[in-house]
Amino acid sequence: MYFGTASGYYQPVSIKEIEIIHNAAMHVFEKVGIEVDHERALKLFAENGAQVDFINKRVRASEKWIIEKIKMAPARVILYGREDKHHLVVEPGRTFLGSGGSAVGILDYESGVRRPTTLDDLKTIAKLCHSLDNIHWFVLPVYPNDVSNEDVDVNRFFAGLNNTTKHIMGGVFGPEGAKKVVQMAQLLAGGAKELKAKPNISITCSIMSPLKMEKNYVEHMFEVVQAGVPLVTSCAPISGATAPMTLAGTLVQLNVEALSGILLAQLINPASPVLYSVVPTTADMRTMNFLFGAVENGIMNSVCAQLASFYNLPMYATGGTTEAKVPDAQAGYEKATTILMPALAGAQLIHESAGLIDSGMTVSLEQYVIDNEINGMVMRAVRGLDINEDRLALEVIEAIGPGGNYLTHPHTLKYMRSETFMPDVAARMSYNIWKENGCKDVGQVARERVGKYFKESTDVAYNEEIIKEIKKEYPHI
Amino acid sequence: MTFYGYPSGFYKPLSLKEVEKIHNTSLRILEEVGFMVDNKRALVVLEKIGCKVDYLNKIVRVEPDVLMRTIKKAPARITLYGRDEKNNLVIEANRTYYSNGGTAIKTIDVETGERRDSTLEDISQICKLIDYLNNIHMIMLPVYPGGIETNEVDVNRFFNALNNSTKHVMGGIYHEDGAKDVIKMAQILAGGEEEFRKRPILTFITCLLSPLKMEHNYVNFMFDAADAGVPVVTSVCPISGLTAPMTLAGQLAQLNAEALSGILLLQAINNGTPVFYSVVPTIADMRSMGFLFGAVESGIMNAACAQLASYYNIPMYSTGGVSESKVGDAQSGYEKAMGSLMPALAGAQLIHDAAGLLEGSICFSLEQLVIDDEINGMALRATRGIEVNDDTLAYETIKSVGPGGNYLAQGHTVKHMRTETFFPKVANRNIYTDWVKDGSKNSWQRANEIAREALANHQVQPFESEKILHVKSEFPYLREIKA
Repeated sequence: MYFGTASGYYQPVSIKEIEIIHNAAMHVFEKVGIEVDHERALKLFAENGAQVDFINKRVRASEKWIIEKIKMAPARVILYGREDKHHLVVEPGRTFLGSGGSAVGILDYESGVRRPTTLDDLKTIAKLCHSLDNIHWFVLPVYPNDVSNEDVDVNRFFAGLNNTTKHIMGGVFGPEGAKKVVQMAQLLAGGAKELKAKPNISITCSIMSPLKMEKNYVEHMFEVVQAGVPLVTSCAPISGATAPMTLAGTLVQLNVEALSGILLAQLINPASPVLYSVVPTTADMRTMNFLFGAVENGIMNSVCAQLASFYNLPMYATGGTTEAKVPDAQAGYEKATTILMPALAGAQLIHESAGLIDSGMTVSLEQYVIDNEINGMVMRAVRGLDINEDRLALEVIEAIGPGGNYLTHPHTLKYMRSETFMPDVAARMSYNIWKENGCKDVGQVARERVGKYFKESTDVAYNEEIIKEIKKEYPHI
Repeated sequence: MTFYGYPSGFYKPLSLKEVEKIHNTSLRILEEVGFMVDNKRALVVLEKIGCKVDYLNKIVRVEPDVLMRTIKKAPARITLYGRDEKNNLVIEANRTYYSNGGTAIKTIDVETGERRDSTLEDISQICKLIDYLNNIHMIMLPVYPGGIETNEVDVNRFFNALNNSTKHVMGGIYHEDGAKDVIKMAQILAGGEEEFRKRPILTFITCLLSPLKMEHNYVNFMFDAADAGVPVVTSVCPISGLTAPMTLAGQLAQLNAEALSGILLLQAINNGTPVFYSVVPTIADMRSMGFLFGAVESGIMNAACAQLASYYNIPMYSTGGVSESKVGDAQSGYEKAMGSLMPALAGAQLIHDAAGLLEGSICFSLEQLVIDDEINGMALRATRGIEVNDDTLAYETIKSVGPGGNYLAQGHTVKHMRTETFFPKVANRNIYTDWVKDGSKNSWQRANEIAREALANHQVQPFESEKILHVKSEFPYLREIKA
């Protein structure tokens, strides 16, 4: 079991401001409501006491009703892997970092040229991420352009499951995608009950901004929740385009959207595992392009951590993203900024934080290695300072005295391996040694390391029996 | 016109109890271990205010009530003046400002890309560019110029920085008469001794040595500064595992004691001397014993120091935005971003070294200055945070747009679109195909273009020619270099 690392040091807004945002969101629920383009869901809301306008497909509810229903949602969700050490216990105030998707392009490892992604790329990346320690769970990274839309979901999930034992999370793209993936996962788990008890997959269904649940996605949500598979109801408002220009306004709307996902899940099946899911971004007001690496996203994700904590709900957030097209300085600083902030704020499942560049459209293998390192630095920041008698080292300071040196003191030896983060690819040597080693920038070093991580990655493929069964049921895998 | 910085303090790595634990440990260090002061004058003034001085071993110990009573005399607010008053900075707890770094011995030539020895010309050029950039609020003398005699270097460094920018200038001193000379020059430029004392346009960086030691010349500079009303930074740079305990908590306890000792001495010399709680916490790479400037641990410690300085209510000088990378690659991006962001969110003031440096603090680059200015801009946007009020909560707009609608053409959107988000100059935001069409430039290349354009177009008024002539008559070796 991995309990993540405790966090919450960074609080961008005061508790009073959290309440103001909450109250504004309740006002929106009551007066504006959300649009739910799904008959069965509308009926479910109505049966349970919300105000439903069937003609305009609008659902409104009072604060009292909302709070009552949210309280049914579990405060703790466990995302299982195929190995005990990869089970993640997700609850407010604990940070986890994961990869993201779904990119459609990849910087080819051999040539460096950008080309469309394939199913093989997915397998390769899963294998790579399996041996990168600072990627705690695996979000299916790419859309395989070489697989038909009919078969894409089962293929994506199986490729992930078969190449890493970390928890697998992903969206679905084809007809009845959620249903098919759930069935396959049940087959692999040994039955529906087994999967429900220890779900090693979770599925992302989107809620549209502003304030709208679309038919297909809601259909998927029913499938997911009924099977007991954890649900991510990803909300991705864009400030200035599909949300108010102001960050506070975006947060109000986002809060309504995220809570509505929780609400629907609880109505379908009380106490079902669901995450308060947020992907806030801003629009580049000069070009109307959507921005993934803006600092404002970091601030908003951090406030969302405070909001999720306010409701005592486990959350899914976003970080480690960039507009850069190559692993240059911009990629470094945009990723570091957007992941450090929510991590210090105690956001849980921070996804997108490995492998992606170009606003999430492109992946590159060396970027996984670099991001694994950025994540490691972030986890060290989240670990923070351990203040206790031994570490305050008063006796050591007394013994060394003014002008002395600590190098050979036992206290130094005791802590030297555990106190600081040891990077794998960052250059720390002097200029001359760096020059002797070939003047490599970190992108080049990361590229060379990819091979090493592959070698270290263990083969975790399912055994022959299982593969045979799977191939029987899904011949196109 | 004065700039009051950005209020901050949202990120607190330590609980209040932990701050007190560190404080109490530092009190014991100062009372039982003491600190070494290799300067007779200083030992005398310290004894006068109530410290226990061992003249033989040059060790000073101070009891908690003497210490706390004395540091309370340090001003809680220090104004750093620029030649242009829009560049005046009011420094007090929880207001964030950035400065560039020094003192690099190598510079990357912005024309040729060559890594070469730093020169006096570089100082002029760098300071002119800093004058243009918005997210570097004051200047630290950026390089140490080769080929100049030590007794001529201090006046030359400070003069060319002051003459090529209108921001406040901070720097170290290298020659034993350097402080006195620079003060004399500055008094001429200010128009007199009193004028300079009222509006000091420079600050001295004197160094303390870890662990717990003050050296002769540096202490003399403190006396010179206190005498003339120049604000002082008592910079101290402990290295975990070498000159400080391996553990970050232990380093903080020692560093806190060192920072307080600097404040104690300045107040002992002269009550009310403006002095900064100054910290440069670092670690060593325990695999190679190499000194590290850009490790994430420095970010955490600087943030904790912001809490400590706030606890004492003394304005601080901290460190951030540094990287070990030799080039402006992704590593430089992520190490600097983390190092810049953590102290800013914690409310650290005067975050220095946060622009222009590569290879720790060995090399200076104008491209990096531009990139770091952007990183700082992002960090400052982060500290600005979220404004929550009826207008920004946008209920009416949400209602009128409704589910499935679009905000683009709303009055509310137009009203806020220029001010709500940070607009970068370096970061590329185009779609992939447009980026390729524009020449597939990476951040370094774009930064280089921005730097050269700024240098060509930005203008800085030099000092009045009579003043410069006066300075030259006092210091005939002065080289006036216009960027």
